[in-house]
Amino acid sequence: MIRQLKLLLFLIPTLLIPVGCHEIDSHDNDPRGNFNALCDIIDEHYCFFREKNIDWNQVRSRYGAMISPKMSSRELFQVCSDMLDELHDGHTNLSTPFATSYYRAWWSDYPQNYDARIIEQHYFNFNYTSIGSVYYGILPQNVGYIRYPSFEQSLGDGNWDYIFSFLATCDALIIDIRDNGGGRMDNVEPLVSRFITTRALAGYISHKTGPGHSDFSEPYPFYFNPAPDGSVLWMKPVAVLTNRSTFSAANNFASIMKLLPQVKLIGATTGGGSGMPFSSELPNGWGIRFSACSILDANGDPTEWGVDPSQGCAVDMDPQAALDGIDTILDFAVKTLLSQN
Amino acid sequence: MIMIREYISTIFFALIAVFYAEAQDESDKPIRPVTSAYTFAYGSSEVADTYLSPIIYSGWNLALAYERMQAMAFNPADWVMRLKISADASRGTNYVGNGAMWRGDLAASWAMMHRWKIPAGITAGIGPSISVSSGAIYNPRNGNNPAAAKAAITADVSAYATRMFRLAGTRILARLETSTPLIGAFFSQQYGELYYEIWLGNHSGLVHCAWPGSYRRFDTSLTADIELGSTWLRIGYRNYFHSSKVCDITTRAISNSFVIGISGEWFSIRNNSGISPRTRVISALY
Repeated sequence: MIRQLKLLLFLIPTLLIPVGCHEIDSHDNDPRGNFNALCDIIDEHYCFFREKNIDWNQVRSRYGAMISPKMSSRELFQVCSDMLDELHDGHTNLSTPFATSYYRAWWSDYPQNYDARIIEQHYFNFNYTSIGSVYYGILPQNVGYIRYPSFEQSLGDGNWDYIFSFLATCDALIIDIRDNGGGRMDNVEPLVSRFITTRALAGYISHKTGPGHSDFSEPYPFYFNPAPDGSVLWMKPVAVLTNRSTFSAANNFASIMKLLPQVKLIGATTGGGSGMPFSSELPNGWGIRFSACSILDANGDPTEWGVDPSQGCAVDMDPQAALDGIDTILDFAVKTLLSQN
Repeated sequence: MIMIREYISTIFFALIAVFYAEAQDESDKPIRPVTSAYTFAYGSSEVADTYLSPIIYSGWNLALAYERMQAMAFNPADWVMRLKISADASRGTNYVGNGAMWRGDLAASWAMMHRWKIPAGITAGIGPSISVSSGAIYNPRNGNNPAAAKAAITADVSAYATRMFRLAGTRILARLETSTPLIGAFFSQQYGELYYEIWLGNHSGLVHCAWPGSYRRFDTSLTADIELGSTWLRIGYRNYFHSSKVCDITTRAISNSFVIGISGEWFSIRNNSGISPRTRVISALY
């Protein structure tokens, strides 16, 4: 009997353990429920309210007044995508089976400043070397040229060795990342690593630690290492060409390269997009992507609004000259580089 | 000096007495058969992880498990041990069926339980156990946050109750068992932390205290082992329940499964000497 009592005493604490699930907020799968789900996701996870001075509650109530129970999916999509445009964020997209929202003003309000055909035809006469999506060649002024259109595609260390070996006799180098909309952040380091000889501070990363608008971690510094021993490095002058469509990972690449002593950023301010995007979803299955984790440059400054060209290097393409096959940004870069030698 | 000499000689004779007793008891040592079971479970599941999605995904769960129980050598009548290794896989879809979420989990636990014969022919045991588990939840539609890794080490309490009965002349062993963690540690990334940041080297704040407020898990099964000659058929029901909340990330995994498998009691006899009529056989379960 005593033993059975002991057993019961042993069991009591176990029975007291809370057995319920931790609560997960849910919303109805109707226009109001989906709208509220979207607002909550952005409210709790979006990382640039403070930098952009956005009063999300005010935005929410303004667009919430447009929601009605009988509205169609397309009408709901239009209200939601208009609301998301208030974030002024190229990393924010609402994906539905019939459309994906996209905030375009970050580049559409600016000159394009790039025409691939001009360089391919008038500068190289289509005589350049391609490897994956990257192409490279030597301009008549003995300046190397590398076109990197997207950080989505990666090149291995061996590929970069071939490219830099080929260009090794050049007096200077141009890396053209205009219209590079970004891609994988881990594709940035292999290229940056060719221009540094010691471990270099590349920036800081700060993530949200909770749903509050001010809940952020201390910025964590991250470093890039030089390319492995035996790799071909480049220590001569470099120009990185940028335009407003240089975005996300390419924006990050620009912010890192700009701080290297032998590098000049030439062209227009980049498009920004320094928030690493997260994905989530609404009860109706629509996907939502948004900036959730802020990347700062090596000075600890945000680059969400873009990275400015180096001092004295802001230049636009002359549309009239472009008609004659002249890329004034590229020409400016060649001239600037040669004047450094 | 005399005291030290007396002390040493006392220990010496005590050791001799112990070795002598061991030798004498060798033939009388009880046999402790190993109860092994291999089971397969299939049923429904609910999986959610708010790091990946606020939506609860529903679908199927599949589990394979190996369990081994044995009365413990130092006091076989009162103490039993249980080793359990399991692998779980779940796949669920969201409400509208346009997204899938996968969950995989590998777990192992070792328990040491005291047991009592209580009225109505029931044997019940309870005791501490230690569990380790690791796995991941994967949502392929996400870009930078497609997966959430899971790992935990916990000190648990495990309990079981068995009762043997006969039905149409066939022996059937009914068993209810459960376990739940009391304290431990588990892995979780921070609320909005990308694995890219962890890959960059930020490893702070990834390990959290597991206690019933933050980490709950019940692994409960009700089974019947039906004697089929020397092998037993195990059928039953398993309920797996896991819920955790840390860094404002809530994770949930619930499954209800039908269990089928084989079990049996095995023991080895040294030197083909057979079993002495005096030898006791002490099962781990009844």
